[in-house]
Order: sequence, then structure tokens, then C-alpha cells
Amino acid sequence: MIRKVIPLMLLVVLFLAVAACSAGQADTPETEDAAVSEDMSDMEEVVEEAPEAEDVQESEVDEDSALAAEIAKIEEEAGTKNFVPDFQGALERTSGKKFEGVTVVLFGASGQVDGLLPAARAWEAATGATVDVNDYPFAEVPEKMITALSTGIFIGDILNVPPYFAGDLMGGGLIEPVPDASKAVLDWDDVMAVYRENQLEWDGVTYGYPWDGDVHSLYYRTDLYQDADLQAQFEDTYGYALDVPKNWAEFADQSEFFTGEWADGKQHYGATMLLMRKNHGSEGFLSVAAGFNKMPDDPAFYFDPDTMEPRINNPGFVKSLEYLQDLLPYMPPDQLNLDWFGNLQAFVSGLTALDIQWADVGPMSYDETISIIGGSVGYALTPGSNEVWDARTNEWVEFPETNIAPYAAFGGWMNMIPANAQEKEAAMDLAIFLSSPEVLQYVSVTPGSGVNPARTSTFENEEAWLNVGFSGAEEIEAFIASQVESAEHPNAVYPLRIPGYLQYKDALELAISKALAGQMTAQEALDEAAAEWEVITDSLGREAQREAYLSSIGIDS
Amino acid sequence: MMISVSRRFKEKSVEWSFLSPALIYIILLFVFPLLFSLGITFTNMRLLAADVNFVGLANWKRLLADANSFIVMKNTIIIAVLGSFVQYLIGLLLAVLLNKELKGYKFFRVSFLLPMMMAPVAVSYVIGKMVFSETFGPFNDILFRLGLPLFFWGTSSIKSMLLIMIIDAWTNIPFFVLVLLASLEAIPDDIYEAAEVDGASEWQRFRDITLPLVLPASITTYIIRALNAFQIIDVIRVVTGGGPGNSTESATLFAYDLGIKGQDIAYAATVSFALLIIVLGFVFVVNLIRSRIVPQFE
Amino acid sequence: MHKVSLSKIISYIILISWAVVVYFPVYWVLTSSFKLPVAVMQGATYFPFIDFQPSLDNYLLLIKQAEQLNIVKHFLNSAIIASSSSIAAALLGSFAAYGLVRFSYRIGPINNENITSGFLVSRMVPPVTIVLAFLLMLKQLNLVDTKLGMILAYVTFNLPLAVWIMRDAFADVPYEIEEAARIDGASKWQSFWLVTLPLVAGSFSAVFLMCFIFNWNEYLFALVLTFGDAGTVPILLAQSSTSRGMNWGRMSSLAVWSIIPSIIAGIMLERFLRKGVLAGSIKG
Repeated sequence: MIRKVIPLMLLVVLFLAVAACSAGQADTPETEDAAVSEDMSDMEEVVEEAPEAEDVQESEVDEDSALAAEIAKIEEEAGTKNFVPDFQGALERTSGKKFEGVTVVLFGASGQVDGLLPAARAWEAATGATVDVNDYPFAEVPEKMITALSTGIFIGDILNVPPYFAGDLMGGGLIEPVPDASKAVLDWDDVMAVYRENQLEWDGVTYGYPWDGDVHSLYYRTDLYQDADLQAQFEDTYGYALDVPKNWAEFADQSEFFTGEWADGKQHYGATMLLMRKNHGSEGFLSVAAGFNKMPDDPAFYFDPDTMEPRINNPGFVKSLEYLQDLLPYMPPDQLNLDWFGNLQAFVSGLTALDIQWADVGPMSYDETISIIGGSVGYALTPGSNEVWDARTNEWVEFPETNIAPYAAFGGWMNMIPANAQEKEAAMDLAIFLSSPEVLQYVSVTPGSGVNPARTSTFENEEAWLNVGFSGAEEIEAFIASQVESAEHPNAVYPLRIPGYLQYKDALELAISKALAGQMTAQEALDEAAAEWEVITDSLGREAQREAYLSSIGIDS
Repeated sequence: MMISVSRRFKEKSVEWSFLSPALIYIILLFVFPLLFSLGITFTNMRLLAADVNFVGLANWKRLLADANSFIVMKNTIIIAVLGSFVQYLIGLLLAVLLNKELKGYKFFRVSFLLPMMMAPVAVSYVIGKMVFSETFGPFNDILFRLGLPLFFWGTSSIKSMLLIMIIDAWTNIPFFVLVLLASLEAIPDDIYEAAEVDGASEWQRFRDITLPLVLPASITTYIIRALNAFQIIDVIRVVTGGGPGNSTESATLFAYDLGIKGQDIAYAATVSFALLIIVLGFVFVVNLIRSRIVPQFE
Repeated sequence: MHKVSLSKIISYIILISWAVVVYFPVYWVLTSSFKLPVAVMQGATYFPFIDFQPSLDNYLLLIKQAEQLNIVKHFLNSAIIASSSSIAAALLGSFAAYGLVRFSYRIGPINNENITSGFLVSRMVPPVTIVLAFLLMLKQLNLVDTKLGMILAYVTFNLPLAVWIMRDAFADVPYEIEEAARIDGASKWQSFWLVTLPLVAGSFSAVFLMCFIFNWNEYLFALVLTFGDAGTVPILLAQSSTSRGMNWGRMSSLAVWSIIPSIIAGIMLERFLRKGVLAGSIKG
């Protein structure tokens, strides 16, 4: 009896489990089936092709022209009257192979990956492959990717991600290097040096395909700065003329000045920055801290290059955080919970007069679904400081000419092919297509793509920037100048990108948030963060971390 | 003799065939991972690194020295112990009112259950990010129109915590209403009728009849809800991300970020075990109180 | 007489205000789904056609993106995972609960009481304590990001509840009824299936429904254990938080769809509870 009952029960449980999962596992067999049938169709093609070579040639010509027409149609749909993208040109850089039936999974952030899709359609049409999206909210992208890659779980064939995992992923051998052949077809020298020599590579090996370029710049409302009444009022109060802020002291004055009721009778605020914890919280802070701390002749910024002692609690950083504490009343009330888009919306919806952000502000100011300030945006370098803390000598250094140190925050989204990709060949082909000058030109001038220029050539075609809605050559040139100058600035600060980045970032953001919420003084908060950084450094191995840090700032150890 | 032994054995086997599937399941898929987690608290295991070393009590020492771990435990206790109790009080009030079976009570009954069915993730976005948005939310707009001081929670630790508790309450009060109403309805009407004849006021009837009779159910329900609230993560993750500072960060969120985002799974496991110890302590204390105030059930 | 009506008025005031509290967020998300993003950002507006012009843009966009977002897949995943793990938990829990009520077990010093409390204690363990171990374990079994992996996880968390409620249900079934069946020659399993289980069908269904609602809305395990293929509805909802800001249109219409199954389950559950199904379990 038992002999019957126990197996029977196990069967019931098993049956339930299997029944439950049959649909789930249907996915896997399906793809296997697809792979098999795809092999079959390949074979059929080979068989058919051999005896009837002439016919095939003819039909190929037909197919080619049909394809060209289809791609022309996709280009037209993606473009506007001012600018039609050249996807055909981008396709010519790829291998030209067919990937019939292949599905390439694109992993990325919800919303951000949408920027890749219009162009990817042309590649789909040309190769016969399908691009499938596996997206997660921005905040979950880092952890999803790290968990998956470190445990060998498949999440995608192409990862559209920020470079700040370089130390963990590139250094960890989890990413496929970019072959020299690919670089050759991609006009590698056209990629801006920031990305080519820093963000996309690790230890001299390139792992990332360029997609997006990112530096923080200053955006201001030209209509307000040109208003004669406001100018007079400002000069009366502060004793100097109202002009685009060059240093953080002026920035604070003007933020204070613009906070209050404006002509529209609504409450407005001076400035907005990225300060949200577990989002971009460290980036707003570091944009400020760069000017106060980055000595032009010292490549190190975050750590002492000899001891790996953190510098983030030295007087320069403390002063930066105290500066933000004082600035907080002149920012929107939900400032600490504003993510990237919230920050952007605060500015383009007219709530604030100043913004420290990425270049998206330019194109997005013309997006009428969120913006009311199109045509009134000015572009400038992030302000700097006239006194800079030199961590090597432990003293403040006076700079009669403001010390400018643009922060290459975030470092730009890029495409990487993980070592466990299932369709490597197709993924590489697509990655080349996406990183081509033609596609990057297209996405950079498309409002809402979330993509900013990473190539010099993207700036060259000024006509293309009309696509954004920019008012004309003057605005385009101002926009491009601020971007190029920031990105190529000799004193630029790059994001930290050593192993354990997310832990360092979270510890720093916690301190920023605590200090800004008034739970601690800036000094206490940063001391706590520095202590936490020491714990992290020790747990990952001090010497290894030091080498990684030196490598990341381009010093040979 | 032989026959009866094998008969007994057979009998026992049949009996065990009822319990063993669940028992084996729990051992394999619960006890084993639990012991594994306990084990890694004594190592320096990371998600990404290959080598794992035994580090003794280092993680536990780090936990005790970590001011932030105390803050997140305190936050969690406030949300679970205090938050659930407030929810219980509101839930009891609503259940008592529904139990009067006033005209239209069926509408209220079904309406009040609605929040429980909604995914907390969705609720958090809708209430935390929209209704209570500081710049475009209707809550502040209505306060503004009424000339009342606005509710700016983003930079205030206390108000952020309050918001988290409001959202958690909105989702979970229905649970109390549901269970307490069921146990109120189980009270026979004649008890009330007798009391009414004796001239007891409504409040007296509630205090002397209703409350003692629903007390056992109340405590059980409270424990269940608090156990759930100790695990809170989704609301906080969506609405405040634990901020400002870490004033609303829960232990689960803290451990999740450490383990999954920071890859430091050894320390994450240590934090989660500390939470487990606190939960067990809480259950112990509540049971102690229960045995005091509900002696007849012990 | 006067006093009664006063208490009635107060009761109604409280009930109505709570109904407002319950319905206002629902109303807000529904109306917001008909607003363009710029309208949402421009401050609070309350009544369609009166202070804002409703637009269907959000919904049209959702339809356009349905395939890209894998909406059907997520709902199917949730339906399969939630229902099969609930059934499995209710069944396994019933077996164990029945055994614990009817027979006495001993493993060394451990008896029925200890086993029951063991099940209950496992309910107290915060999921985060085992979720990481679960991830590594499923990885070894190659079950990460599969529905089976998710079902295994959810059954673990539903079993204690099932054992707990079903134990009280079985305790209320008089042994004589079974005895009669046994005299007629039924085996223990036969009498369980044919006699006892049907008598506790109400509790069984309540357990199933409770587990279902829990599994349908569960977030932490889904977040850690899925990587795209086995994603459930809460994961889909969270994806409305795009780097282009919160997609309220997508969020709200998905939210509406997502609560339909759990509302049906909830209404059914309420019926069972009204019949006093839980009376035994909550008595303390």
C-alpha cells in the first residue's frame, strides 16, 4: 500500500510542478526548435542555392533593392524634415551577414533602451534577426547586471549600461573585448578621447562600444538673464552684474535671487541638481566638489594614490557639502527625491532658473510634452571655484582665475557584449551598427533618446542639430561649444570606476543625504562615509584597489 | 509477531506519508538555505569574487560597530511594531462600524478591501509619487487651497517616515478589517441584546463584550501583520529609497542593497539574521503579553 | 432615540471619509492616465473636461508597446506561478496538517507540537534572510529565471500558512465520520481524499486564495530571482518607472489589469471568511 501511495503522491507533486512549468519551459524548447529549424532552413538554402546560382543572383538583386527601399523607409520614419539618418551607411560597416531567425536580447534601462530601437529596426530588416528588449528600471539595472554576470545567468546579448562597473565587469573578465577589426570599421579615432581612452577601456583593453557621451554642464534661462529689470534688481542686491555664474559663489547668489514668486505668480526656485540617494545622488555633489578639489596638476581626486586613503572627508569635500546644505533652500522642495528625469522636468517645466545636468536638457527643452522653455536655454561650463583644496599639501590654494573642473558624470551609456551572450556574432554585428557615426549622429539629435554625443563627428553636422528644434546656428554653436569644451577639458574629473563602485557610491550618497537632511554635519557625514570607504577598500584588498584606481586615472603603478 | 511488526511499520509509513512531503520540502528549501545563510555570515563571501575565506565573527563585529545597522533596525521596529498597531486600531474601528450593518454597509465592506488586492509596488507609485508629490501632487495642492501649511516630506526624516507608514497603512488596514469583522460577526447577537436590556451604553458594550471577545483574534492578527511589516521593502524602495539619509531605510532594504547591489552577501546575511533575531524577540514579547492579558486561552 | 442617530451620523462620517481615503488614489491614477506628462507636471488638476483636457495618448502608446514590453508574458507568468504555487502549498500543507492532527509523530525528542511550531517559525523568518541563498541554490539547479524556480520559492513561503490554517480546519472535523469510512474498508489516504478533505473545502479554498493574492503581488523574490524570462506583474509595473520619468499611463492601465485577478480572489475569499472559515485559526 505505501509503495503505491508514496510514489503516487510524489507523482501528484511532480505533476503539479511540471504542469505549472510546462508553459515556462515551453520558452526554452521553443528557442531550441527555432534554432534547429533555422539550421534546417540554412541547409535548405545551401541545397537550393548550389544548382541555381544564376536565379539566385537575380533574386538577390531584387531582394537587395527591396531591402534598400525598406531601409530607406525606416530612415524616413525615424528622421524629420531637417534630418534623415543614414542607416544604410551604418549597415555598410557591419559584416553584412544574415542572421535569419536569430533573436538578440538587448538588456538596459526602461526608457533608455527605447533610444536604440528605431535604428535597430534597420539592422533587423537587413539581417533578418529580431531584437528583443529585456529592460529594468534604471535603479535596478546595476544590481541585475552584476548579479546575473557574476553568477553566470543570461540577461542579454548586448548590455546597454553605464561604464562605472568597469572595474567589476571589464576587470573581471566578464565582458568580451572589442576586436581591433571592429574599431577599424568604426572610425575609432572619431570617438572622443574621454570615452576612447578612459570610459570604454580597462587596463589598455577596449570593452565598450560607444553609445552615449556624458558630461555635466550648466544650463540657464536666457530669458531671465537678459531681462533688464531682473538685471538691475540683481545688481542692486549683490553688487555685481547678473551674468552666467562662473564660480559656485555666484551660482549661490543667483540661486537665492531667483527663488521666490516670478512674473507668473507661482513659486519658483533658483537651481536644481542631482542629489537623490541611490539614483544619481553622488553626481550632483561631485559636480560641485570637482571645482573645490581638483588641482589641475594632480590626476588623483577620490583617493590618495599612495595609501588609498579616501579624500572625501578633507576640507575641500566638506566645504562642497556645506555649500550644498546652504543651497538647499533655493532648490525645489522635493530636490532630494528628484531623479534624472525629475531634475530635467523641474528645469524645462520652468520651475527653476539654473540646472546642472547632462546635455539632454538641450534637446528636451524643445519637447513640448514636458517643456515650456524651448529657445530660452543657455549653455555653459559647470562653475568652478576660486579656492581649491590641495590634498597633497593639505592647504587651500587661491585661484585668481576660477579653477574649472567639469565632471564627466556617469561617463555615458555604452554597449557591452557579455562573455555569456548567446548570440555573440549577431550581437557584435548589431553593436557595430549601433556605434557607427551614422547611428550616433541620429540618436544624439533625436529629442528623448537619452543619448548625447560621444563622437566628434556628431558635432560636425550642424544642420542635423536642427532636428532637435534648436532655434538656429547660434544656439547650436553655443550648445556644441559647452559640450566639447566640457568633454575635452584638461582638468575634467571622471567617475570613480574601480571594483566595488556601487558600494563606494552608496556610502557617499548616504553621507550626502544625511548631511542635506540635517541629520549630521557635513564633516560627520563625510567622516562616516570615508570610514565606510576604508572598510570597502580593505574588504576588496587595498593593494588591488590601489592598482585599479591608478589604472583608472591613467597612472602606471 | 513478524506480521504485526511489519503491519505497524506499514501503518507508520502511511502516517509519515502525510507529513513527509511538506517536511522534506521545508528542510530542503527552507532550513537548508537558512543554514547556508547562517554559514556565510562567518565568511567574506562576495557575489563576484571567487575565493571565500572563513573570517570568524568579523561580520558580526562589523554589525555591532555599524551605526547604520542600528538605524535601519530602529526604523523597521517603528514601522512594524508601532505602524501595525495603529493599523490595528483603525481596522478595529472600521470593523466595528461595519458590523453595525448600517444601510449601505455592503458597499463599504467591499470598498474597504480594495487596497489589499493592489500590488504594493503600484500603490507606492500612486500614493507616494503622485498623490503626495511635493510639486504636482493633489495633497499639497488641496492643503494650499485650504490655506494650510504644506506637507514637504522629502527633506524631513519624520515626515518621510510618516508617509511610508501612511502608505503601508492604506494597503494593510483592509487585512485587519477583514479578519476582525469575521470575528465580530462570530459574536452571537443575544449577548449584546442581553447587555442592552441591562442598560449598557454603546461604549460599555464595546469595552465589556466586544473587546474581550476579539482580543485573542486581535493579537494573532497583529502578530501576523507585524511579521509582514518587519519584511517591508517595496514601499520604501519606491517612495523614499530609504531617505532622507537613511531615516526610512528598513532592514530588508539595507540587506538587499548590501547583498545584491554591493555584492557583499556575507554582511547582508549577517544583517538579515540580526533582523530574524529581532523578529523572534518581538514574537516572544507579544506572546508574553498575551499570556498576561488573555489567561483563559493559555 | 436622539443618541442613536448621533452615533449613526458619526459612523457614517467615519465610513465615508475612509471610503474617500480608499478611492481617492484610485481616482487619481485613473484621471492621471488621461493626462499628458506636461499636464501632470503643471500641478494638480482634478476633473476631466473641467480643468484638464483628457487625452488617450498614454493608452495608445501602451497598445503600441505591448509587444516590446512583453505584457502578455508577464501576466501569463504571474498566473501560472501564483496559481500553481498556491495549489501546491495548499495541498502539501493539507497533507501535513492532517497528519499532525490525526497521527502522532516522533523524531527523537521532537513531537507533533514541535513540528507545528517549526512550521510557524519558518513564517517568521524574513524572506531577505534566505533570498540570497535561494538565488545561489537555484543557480546550481539551473532554475534561476524560470517559473519552476519561482514556484519553489513561493511554496516555501506559503506552506506555513497552509499548515497553520488547515490544522485548525482538520481539528474541527469529528473523527467519527472518518471512522465510519474506515470501517467500510477505506485506507487512510482514501478516507482523507474522499471524506475529510471535502469537509474542509472552505478552508482549503481560503488558503488557496490567500496564497494566490500574496503570490500575485509578491515583489522581493521576483526581483531577485527573475532576469527577464520569468518576470511577474509587479516587475512589469515597476518597469513603468523609466528613465524618461514615471510612465503614468502605462502604470495606471497596467495597475487596473493587475488587480482584476486579485480582486476576484479577494471577493471569493471574503465569502469564505464570512462563513467562519478562519474562526479556528484566529482564536489565538
